[in-house]
Amino acid sequence: MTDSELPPLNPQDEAALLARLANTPSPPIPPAVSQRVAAAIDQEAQARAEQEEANVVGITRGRRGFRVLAAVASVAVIALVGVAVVPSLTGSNSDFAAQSLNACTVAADPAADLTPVMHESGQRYAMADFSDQAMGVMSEPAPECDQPQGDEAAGSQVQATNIMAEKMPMVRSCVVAEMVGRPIHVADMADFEGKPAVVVVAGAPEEVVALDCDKSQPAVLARKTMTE
Amino acid sequence: MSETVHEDARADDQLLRDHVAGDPSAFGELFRRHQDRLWAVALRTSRDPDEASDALQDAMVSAFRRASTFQGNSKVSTWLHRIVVNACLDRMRSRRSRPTVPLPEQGDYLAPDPRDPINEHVARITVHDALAELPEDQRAAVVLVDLEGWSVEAAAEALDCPPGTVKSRCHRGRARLAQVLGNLAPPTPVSTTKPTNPEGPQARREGGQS
Repeated sequence: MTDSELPPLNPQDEAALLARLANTPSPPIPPAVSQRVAAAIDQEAQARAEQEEANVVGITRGRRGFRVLAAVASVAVIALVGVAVVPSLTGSNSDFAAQSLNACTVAADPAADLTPVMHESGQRYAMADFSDQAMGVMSEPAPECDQPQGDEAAGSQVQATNIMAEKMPMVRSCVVAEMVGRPIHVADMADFEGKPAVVVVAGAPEEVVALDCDKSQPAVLARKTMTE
Repeated sequence: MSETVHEDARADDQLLRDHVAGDPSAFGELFRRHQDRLWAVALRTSRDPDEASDALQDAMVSAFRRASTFQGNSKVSTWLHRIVVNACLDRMRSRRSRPTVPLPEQGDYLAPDPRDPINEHVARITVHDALAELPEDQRAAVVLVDLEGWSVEAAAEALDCPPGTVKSRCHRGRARLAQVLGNLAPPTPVSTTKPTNPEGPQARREGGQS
């Protein structure tokens, strides 16, 4: 017999049925079930606590990383001021060239194991993958830091750094004007799509910007924000 | 069932807020406070104690994780009951797609308690068996409204359907129950008053713990 075929309950029967249902005692939860569910809840609480602890460690590491970046930026600014502003004030480019050789030494705090800021990598950056190229440059030490310190090597370094010295004040003002307030990880004087350009890695998360610094106002040639 | 004295004086909604804020013991206290009612609903909805046990555990873990989504538009206990009912229905639907052969015995939970009057045990086992004859949607409505003493509106909220649907399911479920229980003598004494749940949403609306 289907539900639709069931005879309707008269009010008296319905009242008796409702009373009977209401008087049916509720079965108490068996201790084994109670313990099992409580254990599952405790397990969830423990997993949540471990997850929160892991998150705190992650945040701490992130903050530590940010502090390292900030330290890099601070040292870089000091290095830039030391190698660019002071010589320009004294008008001694030859002195600057010699100081520029030491720029990576100044920037690379041995205690902090920091990378140098200024590069002249000779990279030919392309629009398609300039950000990857720049991140690769950032992960490497500045070329002049790794070169041998013999007389022959020193000659090529002086030549290279003289080019840097000529461009440095302009590059510095160009980069600082564009990247104002952001920590600069790398500024690579190189080539972008066949034209001289400065490719800068700055900020957190890192942003890679290709700049045309040959003009009075910096022109952004390309920009990409790096995401994890 | 006797009232349990809880050492934790926090209201349900406060416990849930504390749980979301990171209190590791708040949700456990919430479960301890409502475990008997939640179990009764799970058992009566599922019919099978193993299924009810699994559904209750699933529901509590789900509620633990989803606590931050609780909007506060209903009582915490209503929210918990709704999750339990839905967990039971989900498991039944899942089991329906994977049919199994039921065990003949009902389990220890129905074993006679020597302290209980015989009539009480008879009433429990027969109503339980009769409920098993109902389709799951009718059974859930009858369990919440007629056995747990919820209002039609609260049951509709828990079952996520209009109040009219709950009324209709209860009406048909009662007709079926009357037929199944027809040959059994009513337990004595018979009260003709409408059932109320001392810990349920209906009673709590009248000033109980939220």
